[in-house]
Amino acid sequence: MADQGRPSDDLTISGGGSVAVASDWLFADAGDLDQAHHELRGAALALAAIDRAVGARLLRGADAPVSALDAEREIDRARELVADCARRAAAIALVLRTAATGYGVADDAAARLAQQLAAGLGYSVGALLPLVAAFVAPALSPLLGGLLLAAILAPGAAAKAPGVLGDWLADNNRLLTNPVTVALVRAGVMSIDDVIGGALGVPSSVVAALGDEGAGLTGLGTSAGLFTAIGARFGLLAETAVATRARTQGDVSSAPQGIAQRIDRIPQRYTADDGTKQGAHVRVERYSVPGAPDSFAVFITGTADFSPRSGSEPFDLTSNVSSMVDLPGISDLPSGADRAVRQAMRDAGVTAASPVQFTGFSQGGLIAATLAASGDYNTRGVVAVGAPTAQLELGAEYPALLLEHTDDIVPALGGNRTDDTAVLVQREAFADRATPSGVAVPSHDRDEYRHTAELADAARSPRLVEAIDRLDDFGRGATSITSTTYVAERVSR
Amino acid sequence: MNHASPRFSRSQNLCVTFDPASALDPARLEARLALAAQSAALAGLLDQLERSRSRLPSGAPTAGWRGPAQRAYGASVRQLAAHLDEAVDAVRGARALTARAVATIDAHG
Repeated sequence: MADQGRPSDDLTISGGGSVAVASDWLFADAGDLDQAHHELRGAALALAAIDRAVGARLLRGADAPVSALDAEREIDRARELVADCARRAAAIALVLRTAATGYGVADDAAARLAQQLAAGLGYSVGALLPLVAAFVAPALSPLLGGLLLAAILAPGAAAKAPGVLGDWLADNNRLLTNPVTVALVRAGVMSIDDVIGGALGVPSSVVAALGDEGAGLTGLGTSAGLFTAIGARFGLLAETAVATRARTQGDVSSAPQGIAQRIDRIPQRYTADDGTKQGAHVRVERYSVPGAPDSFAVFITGTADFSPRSGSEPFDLTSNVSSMVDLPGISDLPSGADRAVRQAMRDAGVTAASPVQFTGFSQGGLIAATLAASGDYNTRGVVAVGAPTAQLELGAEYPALLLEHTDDIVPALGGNRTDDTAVLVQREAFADRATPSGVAVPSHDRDEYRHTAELADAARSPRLVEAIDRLDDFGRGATSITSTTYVAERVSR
Repeated sequence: MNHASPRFSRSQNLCVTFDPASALDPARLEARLALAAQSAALAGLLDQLERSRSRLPSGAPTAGWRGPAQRAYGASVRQLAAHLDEAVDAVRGARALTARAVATIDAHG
């Protein structure tokens, strides 16, 4: 039976330049065993040196007591035992690492296989779409007529239809908060281009050759581009100009240490009771160190408006889709949210040479990773929390940390991971407990991610510890820290 | 066997103390000093091994890993710990024997 209160605290660590995938404690155990191996090997050498210093010849020459010779024999025995322990510790650590690597390789192979199967299935679904449409079309007229009649007779109920769906999902959120659903969403996202190829009648071999399973020329980015192009015909997903202004400014006593403190500094945008938008989108902290150029930490909020029609909110669904577009000629403009962050950074004094670290939640995490990987900035680290970053390739020259819940569909919207440079920390947020009612995607909750961040901060996996240490080094030694928050809005259609 | 004359020295509180080491012939003196150094080295090593032992993983099952592979891992770690306990005992024994040897040399001169 599910436990209502206890969160599942097992972290799975992967990436960091390695294919190995395992729980935090497994990597921590392997690290402890490595440490034991080094210490015990040193101890065995020390025992050998002690043994040599007091040789049997010296003792016999001095007519030493029998206990001295017994001590020498005991030292010999201890040396052999310690050397054996060192070998055993190294062997167990190797087995653990091999198991983690084997699991990672198998996981990767399974993901590739699933992607190929999903692509094949997606192509078939796409190919059958015209046929399905032909069968469904005759039934659509009475259905739409009925809906129209219902809307005339009960206009309130029809208007509430999307809300009803949302309410139903909120009350049945186990369906969405589920690693299986997440895997299906990930596979589905990766096969959208195959569905489109099938629907357009493109030969399956061509679709496979161009897609993620082949040359990678088409995929999630081209699908997002097509959605943008189609949406534009109906006035949806349209990018606009964006204006950004500073909202508040103040001094901060210290730079964040650990991931949880970073999440605390991500601004939040919310709708107040009176319907007005409150809070900020971006927070830029300026770290001043005497004799060194100022460095900056940028914290970016998540999606604040899920409507496909662009309003005044730049952190919206349009920006979500635009951020993923990779199709020449379609939406060459970066997303509104991307431009808002760049404007805020420029206003705060960030130049191409300024050392900068990015942290973001959800869409903010995607923007953070996109800016970090853009090459436009002197990136010194990135933390993306609950963000669809899987298709981005982050640099190995700076620490990159991704936090994802395996039962959160939002990161899955980024598709399958393409590189293992960043350290990926995963947790199933609702593995052993019931989901709260009234929330559609509770595993995407910021507080849940904050708990994951606390676990990550306390974790002992060497790769994770090193990544967090490198991130924390960034703001150390700052003698003055100024924080500025920014609000952005779309200013025209 | 040659026995050097015992040396007496005056300590700060004007008591006269006896240093048994100085009463030994050079070979026994060399052995005694080497054994005393050995005892000190073994004491340091003992601390180090006990610290290493305390940092070994427990190998206990976790919520995320149970079953035959976990049991095999747990058994390996426990076996390693048992071997290390034996090694620690051997070092402790060697140190006790070394101390006894030093005491015997001091007692018999």
